[in-house]
Amino acid sequence: MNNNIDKLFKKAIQGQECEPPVYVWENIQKQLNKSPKIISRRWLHSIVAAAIVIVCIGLWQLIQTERQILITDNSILTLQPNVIAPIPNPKTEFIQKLPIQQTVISKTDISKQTNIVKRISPIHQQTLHFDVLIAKNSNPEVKNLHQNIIPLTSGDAIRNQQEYQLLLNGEKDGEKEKKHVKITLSGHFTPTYSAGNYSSSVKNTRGFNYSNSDLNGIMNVGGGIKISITPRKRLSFQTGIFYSRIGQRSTENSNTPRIAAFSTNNSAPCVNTPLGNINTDRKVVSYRTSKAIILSSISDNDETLEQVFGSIEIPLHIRYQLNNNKVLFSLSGGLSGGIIVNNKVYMKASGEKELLGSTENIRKINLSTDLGLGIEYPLSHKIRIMIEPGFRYFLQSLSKNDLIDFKPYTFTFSTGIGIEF
Amino acid sequence: MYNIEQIIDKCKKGDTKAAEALYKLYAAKMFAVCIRFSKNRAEAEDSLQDGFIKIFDSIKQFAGKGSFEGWMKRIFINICLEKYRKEQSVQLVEELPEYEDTDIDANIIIPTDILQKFVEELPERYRLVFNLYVIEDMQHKDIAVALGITEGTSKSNLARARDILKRKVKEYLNNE
Repeated sequence: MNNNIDKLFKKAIQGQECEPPVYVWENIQKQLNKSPKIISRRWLHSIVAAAIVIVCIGLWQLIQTERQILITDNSILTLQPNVIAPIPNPKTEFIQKLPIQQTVISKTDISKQTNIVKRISPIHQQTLHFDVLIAKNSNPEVKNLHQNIIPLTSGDAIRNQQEYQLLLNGEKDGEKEKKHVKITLSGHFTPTYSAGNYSSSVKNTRGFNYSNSDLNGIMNVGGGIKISITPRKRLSFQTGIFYSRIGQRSTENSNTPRIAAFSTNNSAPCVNTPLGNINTDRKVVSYRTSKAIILSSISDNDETLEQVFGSIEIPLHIRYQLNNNKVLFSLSGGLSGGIIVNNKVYMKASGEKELLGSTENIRKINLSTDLGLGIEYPLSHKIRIMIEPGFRYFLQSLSKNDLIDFKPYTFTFSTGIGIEF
Repeated sequence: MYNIEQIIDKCKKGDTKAAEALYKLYAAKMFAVCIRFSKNRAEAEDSLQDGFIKIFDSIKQFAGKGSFEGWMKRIFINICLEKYRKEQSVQLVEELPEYEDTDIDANIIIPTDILQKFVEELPERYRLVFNLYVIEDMQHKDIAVALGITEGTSKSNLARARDILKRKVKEYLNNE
């Protein structure tokens, strides 16, 4: 019945050619030249990951170095295999103040000292190879001295010896705290206000031109665990694992349709939003009203579209303690790497909230920069309350679509409790 | 001068001169495909650009089985249809009084550009279904999936498209 009409048009159209404008190839060339940048962006993630590993190793090395400083103090006998230990000069202050018979510090002797001395634990005596411990010295006086020295063989013993010598030298007890590495574990509850800087090409939204003012912030809560390592008195390195939520809320706030939520496509419904299209399994049937194009399932013109992204984040921060009073103030800053684990879009109207689906083309791994002010109040010697207002800014657009630029930022007010080990 | 297999191999290795050669070889044909499946010329240019970028990105996936031109064409058609699906809006289509049941004469001669213009003037949904069914030899069930419509709608749209084209052809012949 329709063979002739089909043949007529097929013959005319099939094999048809049309020369495209020259600038199309120029644009393609530009895009092809941009490809290495995409690769370099992938490299960027690897570099950041490598940097984090290097910082962690550096941190570990720093802690190790601090411990070594304690052990290799010149005033203490040290043990190094196959190396003759330095012999304390009998004329030094240490030996002069202690009769040879008292070189071994007994618990009884220490108990006679001040209450600070009570914290010093007894020295563990261990037997080591003699030639390792004592120099071969022909001086009979020194040799005699060597035979009465009990070698110090453990970190505790060396520290105790050092503390004891500090006491003998009349140095303050507080100074010995300087080189201790403190580790603090803290749990945080974090209410968050999330918003973002937004710009998009009309080309993407196809006639629904959202602007930054159409997007509103959202309130959410998150939280996590933080570990602080304090190798120096005022400086700490912090990391941990946190869960937070970011996103935006678009509201139809004028007579023009701001929420472009419509589709007549039953098998692949599509809803245009500021952050891209929504993937949804819902059968979305739309119709047009005088004010907006809305979903028939809601039947209201006051709808709000909420796009929420849950993210697991690993921060890497440096914290500097500003004072040394009972209430401690500190500044912290650094980077956070986040993985989007939750991507949901809700339509809210008349108090009801409906899950529509998830937003397309969202970047799974994100980097953000953080800045915070920390306030700590001690509840006891080891436990403290923490309040940390902070600001976070995402370094990349949340959408992978080149035409959509949405860089979220958040204001956080974290409260937590920390235990020092 | 390289043959198409050599050009494809070089493109797989990231040779930009081979990419340019491939573009020159197929751009005109593929632009015609994009025009057929796009709303306007500007959108067709966008689709041509997006399509070639996608082809250069994914040319390693072309295993050499089947026609390379057919593989490219499917990519361009998919890109155009994806844009259509994203922009899909409620379309008001004029009601036709009744279907034109009779076929046209097999021997009529009408200039190609006039026939192409008739197809271009079809409402978008009718044009897409007509192009997919008549020119690309796709089945209604595949068209339904590609456009996100039912098979019944696809058949109905094809009938509408044919009907409009027949009227235009007859009108043209009457005015000659």
